[in-house]
Amino acid sequence: MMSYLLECRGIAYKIGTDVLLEDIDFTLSPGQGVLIFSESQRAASSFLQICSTLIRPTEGKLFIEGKEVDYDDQEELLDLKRKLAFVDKKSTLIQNLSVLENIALASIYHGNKSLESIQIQLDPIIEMFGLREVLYLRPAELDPSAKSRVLYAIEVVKEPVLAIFDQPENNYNENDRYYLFNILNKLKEDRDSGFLIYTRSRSLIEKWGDALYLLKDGLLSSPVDKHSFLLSWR
Amino acid sequence: MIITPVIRKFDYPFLLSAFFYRILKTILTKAGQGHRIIIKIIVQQLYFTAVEVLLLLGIIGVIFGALVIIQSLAQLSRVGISEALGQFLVVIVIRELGPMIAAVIVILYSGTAMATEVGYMTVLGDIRAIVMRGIDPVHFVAVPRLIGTTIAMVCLLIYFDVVALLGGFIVSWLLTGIPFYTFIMGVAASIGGSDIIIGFIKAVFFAAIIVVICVYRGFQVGGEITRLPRAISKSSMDCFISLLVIDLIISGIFYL
Repeated sequence: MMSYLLECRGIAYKIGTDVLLEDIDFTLSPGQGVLIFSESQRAASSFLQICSTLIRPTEGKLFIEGKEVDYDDQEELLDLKRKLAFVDKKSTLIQNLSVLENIALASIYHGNKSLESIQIQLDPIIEMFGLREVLYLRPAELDPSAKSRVLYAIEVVKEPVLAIFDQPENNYNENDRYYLFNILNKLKEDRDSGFLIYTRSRSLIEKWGDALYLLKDGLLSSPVDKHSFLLSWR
Repeated sequence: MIITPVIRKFDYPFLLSAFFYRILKTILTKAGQGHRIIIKIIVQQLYFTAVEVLLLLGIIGVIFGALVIIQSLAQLSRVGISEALGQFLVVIVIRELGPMIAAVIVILYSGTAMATEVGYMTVLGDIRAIVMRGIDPVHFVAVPRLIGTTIAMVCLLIYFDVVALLGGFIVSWLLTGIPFYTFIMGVAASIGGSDIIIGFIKAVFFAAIIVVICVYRGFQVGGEITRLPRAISKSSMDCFISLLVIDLIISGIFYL
C-alpha cells in the first residue's frame, strides 16, 4: 500500500456554528507540490493549520507519513512539528533572540550543539537567503523583507519532509520573489519534500506546483486544470 | 450564572498544582535535552533574580536587622536581658522575615517581570514559534525559570540573613557597646540546624510558587494584549497570598 506524506480523511472544522471545512479527503505524496486556492482565507488557513497539527479538526483523521496523528500525545506532536515547515501570517521570530540564534535554535536545542559549531553548517542557508548582514540583529530591528527571509530560513534549516505555506507571496515583494522559488526548488530537489501552499498569486500558480485544488464553501475540489482556472480568474 | 466564576476560583489551586507537576515531570523526562540553551537561560534568570537585586536587598536587610534590634532593645532593656538580642534576631529575621522579605523582593522584581515576559511571548507569537521548532515551551520557558529562581532564592535568603545580622550588630554595638564576639555567640546559641533547614525549605517552596503562578498567568494571556496588565497584577497578588499561606503551614508544622 502506498504511504502518503499527508492524508486527510473526512476532515471537518467548525467554530461555533460556523462551518469552515467539511468532509475533506486529501492526499499529498513525497515530492509533490500542491497549491490551494480559496476565496475564504479563514477556511484555507484553518485547513493548513490542521495539516500542520497546530489545530485539531472537529471531525476526521489526519495521517502524516502513514501514521495517524494522536492529538493527545504532546511529545508526538512536537516531534511531528520538527519535520514540518510552516509559515503563515501569524509566524514570528522569537523577540529576545538574534537572527542567528533564531535560525539555529532548533539545532542547538535538539542537537545539543554550540552556536559556533552550528553557524558553519548554516552558512549556505544564510548565504542563500542573503542574511549575513543582519545575523546579529534582533527581530525588532529587521525590515519586513528580511524578517520574511529569516522565517523561511528557519524552516529550511529543519530539512522538512512536508512544507506548508500560507500565502507566501504576501511575505515577499517582487524583488524578493527569487528567494521563494529558491526555497521551493531546493527543498523539492534535496529532500523530496511535499508542499502544500495556499496562494492567491497568479504568478505562483502559473510557475509552480503539480496540482491546484479549489477550496469553496468548506469543500475541497478535485484537482483543476491550472490553465483554464487562470483564464476564468479575473 | 453567577455561581460558575465562583466555582472556577476553586479550580485555580488544582490548575497550578497540575502545572507544577507538569514542570517537575518535564525536568525529569527531559533532563539533558537542549542543555546548552537551557543552562544559558538558567544563568540569565539567576543573574536577573539574584545579582541585580543584591544592593537593594542588602539595604533592606541592614535596615530590617537594625529595626528589629531597636525595637528589641526598647522592650528588653526594661527587663534587663539585652544579651538576648541575638536570639530575637534569629527568631524574627532568620525564621520568619528573611524568607518572606527575600520572596517579596523576588515577586516585585522578578515575578512580575516573568509574568510580563511570558505574557508578551504568548501575545507576540514567541511561544508558537518555540512549539513550531518542536520545542516544549514548558521545558524552554518554565523549567529554566524555576531552577534559576530557586537557586537565586536560596542565595538571596543566605545573603539577607547575613546582612540583617550585620545591621543588627551595628545598631547593637552603637547603642549598647556589645562586643562582636558576645553578639555572635548569642546568635550562635539561638540558632539551630533546623532553623537553617526550615529557611531553605521555605525559600524553595516560595521560589516554586512564584514561578508557577507567574509563568502560568503569563501563558494564560493568550492572544489578547489587554489581558496582560491584569495577569501581572493578579500574579503578584496570588504570589503574595500564597506565600503567606505556605509560610503559615511550614511554620505551623515545624514550630508548633
